[in-house]
Amino acid sequence: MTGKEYLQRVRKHIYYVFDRDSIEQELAEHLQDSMDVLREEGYSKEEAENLAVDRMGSPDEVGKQLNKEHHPVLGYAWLASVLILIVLAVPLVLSVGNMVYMGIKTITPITIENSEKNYSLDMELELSTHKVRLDNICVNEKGDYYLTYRAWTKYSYSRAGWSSELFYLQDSNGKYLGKSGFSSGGRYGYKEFAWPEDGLLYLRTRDDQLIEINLNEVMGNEAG
Amino acid sequence: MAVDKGYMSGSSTLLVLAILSEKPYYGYELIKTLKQRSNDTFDMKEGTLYPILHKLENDGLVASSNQEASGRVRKVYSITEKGSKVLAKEKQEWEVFSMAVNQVLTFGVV
Repeated sequence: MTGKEYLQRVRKHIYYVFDRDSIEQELAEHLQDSMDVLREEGYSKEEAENLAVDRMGSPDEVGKQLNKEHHPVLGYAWLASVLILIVLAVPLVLSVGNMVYMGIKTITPITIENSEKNYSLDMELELSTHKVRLDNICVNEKGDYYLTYRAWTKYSYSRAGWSSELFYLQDSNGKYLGKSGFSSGGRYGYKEFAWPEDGLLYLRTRDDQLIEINLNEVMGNEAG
Repeated sequence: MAVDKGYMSGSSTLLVLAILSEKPYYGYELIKTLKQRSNDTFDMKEGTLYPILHKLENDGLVASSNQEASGRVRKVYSITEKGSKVLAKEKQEWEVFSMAVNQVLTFGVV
């Protein structure tokens, strides 16, 4: 029997196939060491290989004993549990990634998509429960007006999480100017509004504060 | 004189741990040492050492690491703390056992 044949015979007994290579590697090193010594003692290459294999004993016996120590049921169960963990970890990693992304979004002032012009507001509102930062008045290519903002609860830095609106937009006569809006997890968003005739935009907060924004003044302040 | 297989398998844990307690060995080196120290009494089939080593590793009595030297990768085994404790216990058991066997064998011989 050649060394290769011996190793093949041992391999066949290992049912947990993922350990076959490391076992073969270890036994192959042993055979090589054994052959090297025999060659130094004066044996021919073939004689040395035959003798080294013979000294290893029965490959079937060694293979069966090794198979007991590389238990296929435990081995595959371990592999399966690793795979399950990976499957479970993927949505977790994605959701953490999303939270980080949302977090970054709230750090930098936001603008709307397709925004043609942005006018910096940089105002801060104190509500009873929230802090709101008004970022920009944005105008898109169609000439629609938007107000962008970010919000934090005062109690934690997690999601702002409100169910009703934090503020409404109206004109000096109390007429609602809001058209549409978007908010993401209560952390940032925008409100589209109709242009008030006198250029004065009023922001009525949920806790009934009234804040005036002079749009003509703001729009002399181009943010780029 | 080579001894019957049965004697060998019963004490293989003790013998392997005893040798590994001095320094880390790889398989080939370990079996040569065992053979030399026992004046060729423990001339076991060399392949049978590996199931023993892998069992000891599974039981946490030895730990292994791969060491690379001149193009060869050798799996080197070293005794763990748990292995040292087991060795001390087995050594003691062996002494009690062998003393008792000797007493029985030499009974009446003066």
